Amino acid sequence: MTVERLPDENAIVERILAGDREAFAAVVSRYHRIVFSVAYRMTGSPAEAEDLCQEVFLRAFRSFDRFDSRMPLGPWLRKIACNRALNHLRHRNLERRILREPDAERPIEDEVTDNAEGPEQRLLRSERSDRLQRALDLLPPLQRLAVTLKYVEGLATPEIAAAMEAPVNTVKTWLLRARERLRQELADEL
Amino acid sequence: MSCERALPLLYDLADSEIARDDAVWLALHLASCRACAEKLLALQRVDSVLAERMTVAPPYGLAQRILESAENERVVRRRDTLWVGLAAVIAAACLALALAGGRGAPSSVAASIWERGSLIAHSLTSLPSDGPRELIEQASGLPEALAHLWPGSPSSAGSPTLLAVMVALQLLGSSWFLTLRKSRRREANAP
Repeated sequence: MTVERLPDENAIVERILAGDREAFAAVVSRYHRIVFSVAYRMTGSPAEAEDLCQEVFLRAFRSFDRFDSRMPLGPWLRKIACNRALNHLRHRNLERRILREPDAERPIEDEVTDNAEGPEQRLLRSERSDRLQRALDLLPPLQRLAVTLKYVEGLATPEIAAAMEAPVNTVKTWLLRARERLRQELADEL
Repeated sequence: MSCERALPLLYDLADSEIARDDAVWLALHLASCRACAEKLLALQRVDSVLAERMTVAPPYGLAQRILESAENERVVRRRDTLWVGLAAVIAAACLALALAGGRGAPSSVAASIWERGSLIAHSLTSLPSDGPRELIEQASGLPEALAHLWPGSPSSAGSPTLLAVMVALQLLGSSWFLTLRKSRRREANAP
């Protein structure tokens, strides 16, 4: 992922394999914000996003013995996150989603810990974030994932293509369609 | 037609992923097409809004909960390995002792050891662990299966060769259980 790499990642992986809890904590600390953001933007639900985020890190934890420690951790975690997010959407119970009370879940902005921010600013940011989420929910999963990776991580198209295991031109088309749709949905804010 | 060609190039330009020739063509087009120039501005504003709002803060304590789940996973994995290994070792020891009993020890002692070993192996299957339970069940059933293959065991099976063969079978079985368990876990956890 495009966040700064951990210093000496291959040594960290070796330490994780040796059972060092602090090493895994360092990986979680560095990458959980991005994984959670991708999970939240894909599911639109804080609870589902948390479950998905935990699943991604647990899968990584179980698979470190197969990870090539010469490679950077970010793209590997990103690929796991993409697969799990798409898989989750594929298997999500549609009925449950339709019946879900829109306000039944805690707004994600309640969790933001920015003490400098006043209640009005928080509310405004919450409304904007929700509005973006509603627009994202209108996109097909592959378009949503492509656009999420682009803006959560600031990835270039070839990096998104690698994470999603799709041709670059296909990803370009997804991004174009997704952004055209988002431009229309968010038009009055622009 | 020009505007249709321009649309994907506007995105390439906004992403700084445009080829040099396309950039030249697009610059000329934008100089003469107000609609596309306005679209480029709108697109850049969308870019900015999305970049600003897309990332969300994780819930408080999420990292800690992930670490706790991983720690539980580690404990369960260690326990599973221990139980499977223990069940296999107990089964092998029971077999060896029972067969050795046929070479001199009272058969009632050998039979008692056999029975107790089987009970211990069976009791392992009732532990609250989902993953290896099936394998442990197989492991605990092995002595019984072997006893059926050699009727009269343990008291009549006194041959050192037979003893060696059966212990070897047990060891091979244990190693097979562990390998199978590992490969199943890998398949289940494939990213």
